[in-house]
Amino acid sequence: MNRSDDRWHSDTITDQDLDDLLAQVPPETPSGRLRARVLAMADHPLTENGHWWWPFGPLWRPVAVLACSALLGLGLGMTWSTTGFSQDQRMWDESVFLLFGPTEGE
Amino acid sequence: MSQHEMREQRIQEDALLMERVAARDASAWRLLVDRELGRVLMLAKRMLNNHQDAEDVAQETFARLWQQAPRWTSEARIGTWLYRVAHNLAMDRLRHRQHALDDAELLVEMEESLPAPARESPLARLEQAEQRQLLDAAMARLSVRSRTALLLVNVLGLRVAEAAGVMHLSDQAMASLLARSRRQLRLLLTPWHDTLLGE
Repeated sequence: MNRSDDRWHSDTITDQDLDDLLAQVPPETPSGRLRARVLAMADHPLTENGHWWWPFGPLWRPVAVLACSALLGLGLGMTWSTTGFSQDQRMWDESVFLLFGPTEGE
Repeated sequence: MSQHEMREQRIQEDALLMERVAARDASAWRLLVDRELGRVLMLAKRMLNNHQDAEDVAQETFARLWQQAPRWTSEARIGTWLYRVAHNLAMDRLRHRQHALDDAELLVEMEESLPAPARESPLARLEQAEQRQLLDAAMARLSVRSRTALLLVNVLGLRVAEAAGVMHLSDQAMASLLARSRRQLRLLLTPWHDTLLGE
């Protein structure tokens, strides 16, 4: 900068200048769409846990656990092969027969 | 009335307002939105430099305030709480964008980085727009941390301790960051002294 010292000091932005400039920064004007979306939050019921779409409070945890358990059981039940179980049982019987010979019932 | 007493009074007023919000008083919510939405949006927009992202952050911030209403404790001003949430959400977005903005304090000569304003503008309104443009451009050259510190304290009027809470800094670190940010902004604006201050 090709300025003399005096000129430099007189042209320096002071703390007060900066305060004044920053104080002029206006807030943003929100779009009508944003304002409407935020205001619309008040149209939903406010519950203790804060979710308008779930009116049962903290009950969601046990409900979620039960639902997961039910789904898991349903999935296992649908995919578990009963023939597979029979084959396993037959292999076990044959192994016992080879190891220990015929049992009393046979 | 001392500053401390005034602050306590405002906190109590905010607590009453939040009680009305928790009781689903739509007029209280509208009052709150009209008072704070523009300020939250301004903070988010200047942190993110993206209007759509800033609107998303502002909306999410108010959604959290709405959810928080039944559990509101009268320990902080609503504005301070909102700025803290908005700051956190904006920082998350910045991290996702992988912007390495922090601590890379950038001092660029304004002559090289800013468009020269039309100095012969005859209208005060245009001059004001030029001033704002210069200030915006200078602030955009600062790191997001510096920019946020200035916005919180000098624009939104938070005390240093409150701003430190918003930015998860110690009071001392906040004061240091603020002083450094002000020094940088002054340096960036000095070449435009005459345009900015009309002398």
